[in-house]
Amino acid sequence: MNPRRRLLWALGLGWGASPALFAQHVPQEQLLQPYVGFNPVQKGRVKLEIARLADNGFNVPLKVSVASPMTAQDHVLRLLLLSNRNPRPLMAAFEFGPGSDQVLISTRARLGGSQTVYALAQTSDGLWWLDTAEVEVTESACLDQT
Amino acid sequence: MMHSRLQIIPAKLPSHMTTVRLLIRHPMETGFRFNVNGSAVSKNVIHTLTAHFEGKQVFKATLGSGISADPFLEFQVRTPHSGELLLQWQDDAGETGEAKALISLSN
Repeated sequence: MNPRRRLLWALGLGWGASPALFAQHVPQEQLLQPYVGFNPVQKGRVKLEIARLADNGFNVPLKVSVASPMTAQDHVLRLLLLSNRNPRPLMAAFEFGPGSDQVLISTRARLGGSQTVYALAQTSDGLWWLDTAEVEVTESACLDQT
Repeated sequence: MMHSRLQIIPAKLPSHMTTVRLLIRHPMETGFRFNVNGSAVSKNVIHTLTAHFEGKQVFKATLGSGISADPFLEFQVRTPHSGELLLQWQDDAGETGEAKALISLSN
């Protein structure tokens, strides 16, 4: 090991430590906590459809639907799209009103590498619902820093 | 004025939903990129998009850098009667855009 390499190791910048400096997958609890607090999150009701393999992270089509009657008593308040690898985890947030119909949204996301995409919905009874999808991204949308 | 395309698939019956498809021409700059001179390109994304039907807000989207350039959005609104649907959006540079469509329920 040459002196330069040894110095890097000493500074914690060796191979083993280097991924810590770059983008990392944020654990689920840490990712959801800013939005849901300590409330429980359940699987179900939300359905996230996204291709398992995305050639290009710049433009990843996805579709989210939430099973809800959308009445004044029982409707979806908001829907969040989260990424556990992007530099900014919140990709989009949607809010619905009494005039909204069935929650069925399509859009195109920008993903900074292979990761898990989270669709998180809050219904009017205050409960949080979740669906996740794994996506393999061949070409990341983050070419500069991550 | 931002260039955009709006497609409306009107409800077949008053109880049915109207599908709204919107495509906006916008770079959705993340703020993480650098130009050829090495200086950072400032973040500029469409951060808010609202839909009003007959003056009442029916949908609101808060977008971020995690949405692709030239953002596309498809959603549903309830149109119990004919009326005007107005979509408005604003980006970080303060530029705004709007698109409107008259929804007529023929039955």
